[in-house]
Amino acid sequence: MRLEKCWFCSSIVYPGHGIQFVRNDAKIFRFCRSKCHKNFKMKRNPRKVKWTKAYRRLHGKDMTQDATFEFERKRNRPERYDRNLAENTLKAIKKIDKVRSDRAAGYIKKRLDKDKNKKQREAKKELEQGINLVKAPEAIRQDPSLTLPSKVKVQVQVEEKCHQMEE
Amino acid sequence: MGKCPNRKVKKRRFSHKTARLTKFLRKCDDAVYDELQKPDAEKKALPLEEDLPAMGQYYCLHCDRYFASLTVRDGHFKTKRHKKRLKQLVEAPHTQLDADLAAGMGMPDNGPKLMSI
Amino acid sequence: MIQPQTHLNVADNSGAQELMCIRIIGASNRRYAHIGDVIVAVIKDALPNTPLEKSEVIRAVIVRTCKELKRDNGMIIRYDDNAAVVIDQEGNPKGTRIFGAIARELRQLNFTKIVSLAPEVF
Repeated sequence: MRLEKCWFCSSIVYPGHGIQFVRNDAKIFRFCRSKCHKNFKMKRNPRKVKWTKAYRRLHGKDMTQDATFEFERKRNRPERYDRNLAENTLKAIKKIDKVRSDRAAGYIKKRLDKDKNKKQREAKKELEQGINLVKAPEAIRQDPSLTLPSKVKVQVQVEEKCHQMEE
Repeated sequence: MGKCPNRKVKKRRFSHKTARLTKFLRKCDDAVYDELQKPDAEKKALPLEEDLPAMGQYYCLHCDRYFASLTVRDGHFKTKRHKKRLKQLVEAPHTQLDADLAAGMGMPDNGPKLMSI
Repeated sequence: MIQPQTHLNVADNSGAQELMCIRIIGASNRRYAHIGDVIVAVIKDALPNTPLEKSEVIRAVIVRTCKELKRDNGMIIRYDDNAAVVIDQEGNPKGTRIFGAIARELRQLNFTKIVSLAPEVF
């Protein structure tokens, strides 16, 4: 039995799951679950719905080019049955699948790492600027351990502000 | 179809006629797109059909609608809906092939050509 | 899910344009007809200059339904519209052409003529 891909979200449609819609011009649309079917009926464009593979691919969220993509494809030509070949193919599937999932995970990690430094810097800055919102200035002055140790400058600023307020 | 002429809720809602229009068989986006992609030579003159408004002579390809006269159709070309539709149909609609590619499949392999042309 | 009073499209060139189901054949007290069932129908709309006329009572076999069709292998299929093909008492189609996709179930029910005429079978 052939495992087709869902028209809407590109996931695999396993036998016994989902629904097929046959349009009058004999085009078939397969859906993996009623969620995808309903979205199709609402005439949504999969390229604009964020949880679909089509969206993720188009917006660079997922790996788009890889050598492992060449293995799984529709082959519209008959292959003579060969027992050894079939066995080897079954063995290779596991290996290829592992390589592919590893690479995909690596891609996402790399993409997210780009932001990581920037986010941390911004968070630090926000903490320094807004520390007096969390703790009263008096408490900070008495206990210097509450502020970040490396930035001495900030402490001075905070103290100055406190003086002004007292006056 | 336009907005509902007499409605109480002042929101942007279309009339019940609009809902009825979309309920019946209308061409899907990909069918319309295929039609638009055809070269001009292949496009035939509109056939005369009795049931349609004005014998089906005034037709908007993009919106798959028939109109009663030329002026009405030209009026339709100026509407927001039609312009939105024009914009939508610039890029090719989503197909099963796109879905397969997004799932990480390669292009379909049809093998070597058997007949030399 | 076709029951009496349901309007159906016609998927052949017999000349009828629209049918209305008035009776399901083969069941004394069944509610709904599905793909492959024969119904008695009235022609609600017909093309001029064809053997069939409006308000004529004919038999037709259902070929497409909007209601999902379940197959034994777990496949669920839904079509665009409710459509039927006009047949005579022996089960041969009155038209010479069939339009649109047609369900494979018809072959088992001995409507082979219809299946062979159909452009696409699913």
